[in-house]
Amino acid sequence: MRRTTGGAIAVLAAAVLLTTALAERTPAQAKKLVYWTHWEQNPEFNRWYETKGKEFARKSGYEVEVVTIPYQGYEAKYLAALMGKTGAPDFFNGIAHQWCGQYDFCDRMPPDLEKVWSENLPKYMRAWGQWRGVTYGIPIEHGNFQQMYINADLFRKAGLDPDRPPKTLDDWLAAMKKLTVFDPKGEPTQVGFAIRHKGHPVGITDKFLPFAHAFGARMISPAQDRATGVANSPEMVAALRFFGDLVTKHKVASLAFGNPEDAFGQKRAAVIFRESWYFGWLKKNGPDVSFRVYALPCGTSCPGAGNLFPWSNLVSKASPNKHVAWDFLRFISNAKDDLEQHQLQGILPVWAANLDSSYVKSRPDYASTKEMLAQPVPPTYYHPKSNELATAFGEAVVGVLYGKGQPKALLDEAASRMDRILRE
Amino acid sequence: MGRWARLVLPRTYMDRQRRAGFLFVLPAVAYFTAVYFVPLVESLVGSFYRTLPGGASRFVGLRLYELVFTDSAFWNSVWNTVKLLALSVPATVVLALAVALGLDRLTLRWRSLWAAMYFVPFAVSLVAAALIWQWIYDPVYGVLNHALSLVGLRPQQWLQSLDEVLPSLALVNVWARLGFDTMIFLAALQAIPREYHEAAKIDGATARQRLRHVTLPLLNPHILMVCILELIFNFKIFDQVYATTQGGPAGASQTIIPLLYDTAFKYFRLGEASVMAVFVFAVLLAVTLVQWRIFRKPVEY
Amino acid sequence: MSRGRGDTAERVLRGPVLWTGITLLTLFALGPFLWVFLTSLKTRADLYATPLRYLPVELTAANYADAWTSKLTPFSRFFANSLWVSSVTMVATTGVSILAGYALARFRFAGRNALLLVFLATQMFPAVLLIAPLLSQWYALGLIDTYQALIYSNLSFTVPFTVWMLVGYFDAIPRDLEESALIDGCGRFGALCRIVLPLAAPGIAATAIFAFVTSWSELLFAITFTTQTEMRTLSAGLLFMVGQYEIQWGQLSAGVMISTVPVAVLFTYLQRHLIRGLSAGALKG
Repeated sequence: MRRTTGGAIAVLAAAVLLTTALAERTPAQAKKLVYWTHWEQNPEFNRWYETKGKEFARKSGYEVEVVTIPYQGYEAKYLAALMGKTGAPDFFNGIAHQWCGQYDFCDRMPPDLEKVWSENLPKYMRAWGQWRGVTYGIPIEHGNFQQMYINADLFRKAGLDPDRPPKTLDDWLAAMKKLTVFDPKGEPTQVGFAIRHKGHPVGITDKFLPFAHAFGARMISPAQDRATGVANSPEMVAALRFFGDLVTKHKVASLAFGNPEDAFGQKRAAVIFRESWYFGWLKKNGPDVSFRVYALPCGTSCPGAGNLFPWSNLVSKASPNKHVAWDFLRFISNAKDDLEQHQLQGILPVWAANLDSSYVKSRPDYASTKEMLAQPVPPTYYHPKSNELATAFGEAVVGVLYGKGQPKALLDEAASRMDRILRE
Repeated sequence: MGRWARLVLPRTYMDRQRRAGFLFVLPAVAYFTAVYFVPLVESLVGSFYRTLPGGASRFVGLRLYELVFTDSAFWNSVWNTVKLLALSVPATVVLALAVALGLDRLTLRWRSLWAAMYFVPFAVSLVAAALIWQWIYDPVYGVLNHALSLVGLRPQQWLQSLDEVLPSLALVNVWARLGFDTMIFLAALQAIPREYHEAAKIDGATARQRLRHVTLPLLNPHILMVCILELIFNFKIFDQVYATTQGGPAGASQTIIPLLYDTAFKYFRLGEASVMAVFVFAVLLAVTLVQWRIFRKPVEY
Repeated sequence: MSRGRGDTAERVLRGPVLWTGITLLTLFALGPFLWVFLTSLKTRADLYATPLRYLPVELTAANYADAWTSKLTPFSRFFANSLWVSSVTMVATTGVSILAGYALARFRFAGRNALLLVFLATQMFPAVLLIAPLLSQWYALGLIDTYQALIYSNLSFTVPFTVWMLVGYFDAIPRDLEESALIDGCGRFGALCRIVLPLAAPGIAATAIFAFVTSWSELLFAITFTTQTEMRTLSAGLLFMVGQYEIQWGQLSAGVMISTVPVAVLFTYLQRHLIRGLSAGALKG
């Protein structure tokens, strides 16, 4: 009988041994700052921090380690790490109204740095790293607003001049109709506009907002306290009807086409609205597409440079190295580094003076970027619950595209959902 | 006190039995407590708290339950889940049963070969299964629409259609689970002693009568078990939705677990997510208890 | 034996109907694989050709090479990760659940039934919700981006189910054999190893495969408890191939093949054990 106990104990001991043997922690390393980002699409940009960190180490003794968190589900990881205090990054790429507003994870930006950036950011970006008037973060991406990419060949084939893009929504719709080609059965084989119609509703909202803003509508009230009467205003209903008609009535956009980016890259769509990174993508994935970039068409007002995701570099309040992290950010807060880092990845710098650098001037979207920046800044929705609000709103947009209901009814429903979210 | 003392220092044979039992179960129970039970209790408790900015939380009683249960998006996801269940569970079970009955008639060599083939989809991870089918369903480049056009039918939108998205996902589930269920039925069929069939044959029973009066009654517990396993599987569907439709279009394929995931990790409402988890748990537990009742009765051949 | 109507029906069933049905279903079961396999051998031009091409015009192994060596989604590394995580999970699960399953089948002690029910009930609870508490646990222990975090988490759902399956299996083994071994002076542990385990081999094989496959396919923990590319498993790797902006179907298909074929082969090989194990175990608990 004694063997029973002996055997069981042996197994237990083996399990414990195995566990402890496996659980060896990674050995302690040289002092370093840990940076988290979910920008998996910009590896060169991210790596630059490590390169720069080596230089920084010579004067501070701290290197920088960049950890790229996959975009799918990145929020969960950020949340757990920042809540758990251990394993949290010293600084990270995030959205101020979420991580500093909904949660209180961010360290306030030192006044000297705040002054540097407020003097050197383009006007529309100043609100990005802020929450309730307090500055926390440094905006890191400039071209994060949509512009109009057109396929010049398809324009010519349709008898349109690619050098004279449509400026108003009416002209634009007329051009879209010319650019759409149907097969004998009445199905489009080529469409004017590459529309985003699938994926998470937040992304759909993001792609619809330029239309809403062109109609003079906005998603929630300026005080961010209500959606009813705003998200379902007559202007918004008109904007959504226009958007839905592209698919259902005019058939200049099709739900049968997959990702809009692919459709444009494969020359099956003549126009797409995307951000500044897209032309880099296009060069790689659709090298034979001859394209031009223009400002978005305007309706009663112009869409302007707006976005849903104001990415900023934020410093973790709980980090024991937060002062070093600010030192590092101070170290790289200058025009030269800003240009170098963004140019490496082929995206637009944020430092206002760099917008006239020869790099930016040589880009195909230089003129359109200038033009859109000159337009009035569109409404922003930097609310802690922006994800949830945009989801509720996006459901209405997809609903219209897929013929689930009328714009008015769906927007009424979305508005009351959004009110509920805002009240909580 | 005495009972515990005797567990440490056993006196009788029965004591030793008890002690051995405890020791054998201990690793499993200890482990289970650490990685399952503690987190589970944490989330149950979490359903009564609301997380505040800064990570602190406040007790709000049943308020979150009220919020979730009056939310139309929640009930939409429950309804979608139920529809998905209704589409895929009966289809999988009936098909698996038919396949098993068919395979049971084959000789051993053929049976193993075919059974192995049906089993292959079960080896595919659910993400992979969903992605395979997404490519087949692709409205433009998919082979399914191509096949439809060959027989003169209009192309369909499949995963990108309000009405077809749930049936399309159900088909993926049927495909992924058919092999597993077939195996269980096949094993059960082979466990039925041959004499039963022989006896029924001698009594003049036709093949159909034998199926109805001998085979199916003996398979009954297995059928129920498979139904319940399928129920759980479909109720907890996540990977397929997350990898392909993300609940779209317009919430038409938003089932309950993906909604729970978004609520917890996209909207950071851990409390509400816990409420949903409690709901799922309660529903499935009720089902299990029914199953427990039925399967405690031993099956005698 | 009389030749009744039933036998005629049976002959027809055994003949054309049976074979047609089996063929159609085989097409359903294997067709998608075949299609993905063909896709994985196609160049981009063949993939997006209109009208659709069944067979690749230009055979290419580039998709496999790309997937295997890609920097962003290195499937060679994912494969090794999955193999290690699933194997350790399998061994640990089997060890722990043999002991527990045996005890629950052989000894009567307080809380036995409750424990069985609790183990079964764990199948009902959505694992999604374990994520938040587990995530902070793993952070606190510094286990993020380690194999341990994945293995420990996987055990949380494999162990209860395999214990539950094994109880049924051990129950079915006659007690007399052990009793005599016990009388011969073997300890409980000795009796378990020498008498019960060999008899229960098919059931144990089934539970082991179950543990292996569930952790091979596991997604949620794999995407949440790892941050670095080098630590991802195959399932997670596949998901990350579905980029934010487009899906590279050629590479993805190669990835699907890489992640599927080994398990499929293992299954085919062990299939007969599995059948017996599944039937006996799952039911008689």
